[in-house]
Amino acid sequence: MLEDPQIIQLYMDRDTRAIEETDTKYGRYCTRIALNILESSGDAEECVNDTYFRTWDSIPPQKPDSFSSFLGRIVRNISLDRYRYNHAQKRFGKMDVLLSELEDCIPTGNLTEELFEAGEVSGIINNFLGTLEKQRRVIFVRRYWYSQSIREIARAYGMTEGQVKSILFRLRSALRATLEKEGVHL
Amino acid sequence: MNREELFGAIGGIQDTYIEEANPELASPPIPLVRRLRPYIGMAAVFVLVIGLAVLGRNTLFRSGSTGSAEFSRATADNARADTAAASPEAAGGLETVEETAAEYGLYSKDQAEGTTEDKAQFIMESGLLSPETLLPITYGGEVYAPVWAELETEMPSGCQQVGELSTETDAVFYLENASLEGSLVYQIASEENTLYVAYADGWQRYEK
Repeated sequence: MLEDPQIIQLYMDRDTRAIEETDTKYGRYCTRIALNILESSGDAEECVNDTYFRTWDSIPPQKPDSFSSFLGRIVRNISLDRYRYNHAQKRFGKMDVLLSELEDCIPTGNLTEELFEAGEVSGIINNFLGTLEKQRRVIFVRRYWYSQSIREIARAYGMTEGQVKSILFRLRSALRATLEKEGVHL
Repeated sequence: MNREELFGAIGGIQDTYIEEANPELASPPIPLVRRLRPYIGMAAVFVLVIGLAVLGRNTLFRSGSTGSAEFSRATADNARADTAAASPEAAGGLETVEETAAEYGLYSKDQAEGTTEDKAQFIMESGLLSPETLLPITYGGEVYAPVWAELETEMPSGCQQVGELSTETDAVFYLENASLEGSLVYQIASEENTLYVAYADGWQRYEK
């Protein structure tokens, strides 16, 4: 199996083996992220294929420092678009549960116009994550970046699902307070 | 800002956080023993309760099988107990059974039948209550979230008892346990969005 810089070099050289190597090394990783969001293996497979093509179009000019995160972001965004498309008329499924949880983090009132820039909010979230101890940060990222189920997270950490829910509740409350502090006057 | 925009914003977190949480690179699965650890405490409490129930039952049977006179006395005790159950004023016959339970060190009669604080103390000692296990409560139709600070060891100034939690009228969310039923609720008149629930070692603050 090739190292990440070697795979990236294949993209830079416009060698189609880049996609095969990406699939060999990161196919399972990308599929899991897509499945966590979509719950449909057919949709997930399409999103993963789209991810490879978007990666092909993006490198070059881009040259990612972290290839796994780069792929993860693309597959997550494509899967979210697919989720929106599939659920335009009605809401259901575990992704809707996850998004409902995130409503706890949204400050009441209005954010200032500048903070609607996703990049700035991401910066605030980055700072917030930096203040957390590692285990809590990983639990947050697994739930809200990788969209892992609470059961999977609980199993990974030897916790009960109730303990994970409790931790996530506290994290959401803290994130909400941070977002309010940065941009909202209640 | 809506929830999907927030989900999108979380997508922009830095690579290091994404990599450290990558489930594909995670360490090997947690050993079975550690995975079962959260359930061991619950199982131990369950076994203890069942064991005490069996022990108590055996004690009653023993006292009733050592001879016809004792059997008659036990029968009379049981009759008194039945009478006491139907009529609390004549509760004298139950004393023997309750004192026997206290001798085994589980909890005293006062703790079993005492104040809310006594019950909460028992829950604390059983390991079921801790800041990690507290979840939001619903009181008067409103959801209150626990505030994660040290418990107030003194009753907060101006606090007045305003009611108690009930599983019938107020959903009490408490991790794997609904024993907050009956806990006393306090409030400071000038703080409508805050309430305090009395536990054995202090008052937990909740906010709407």
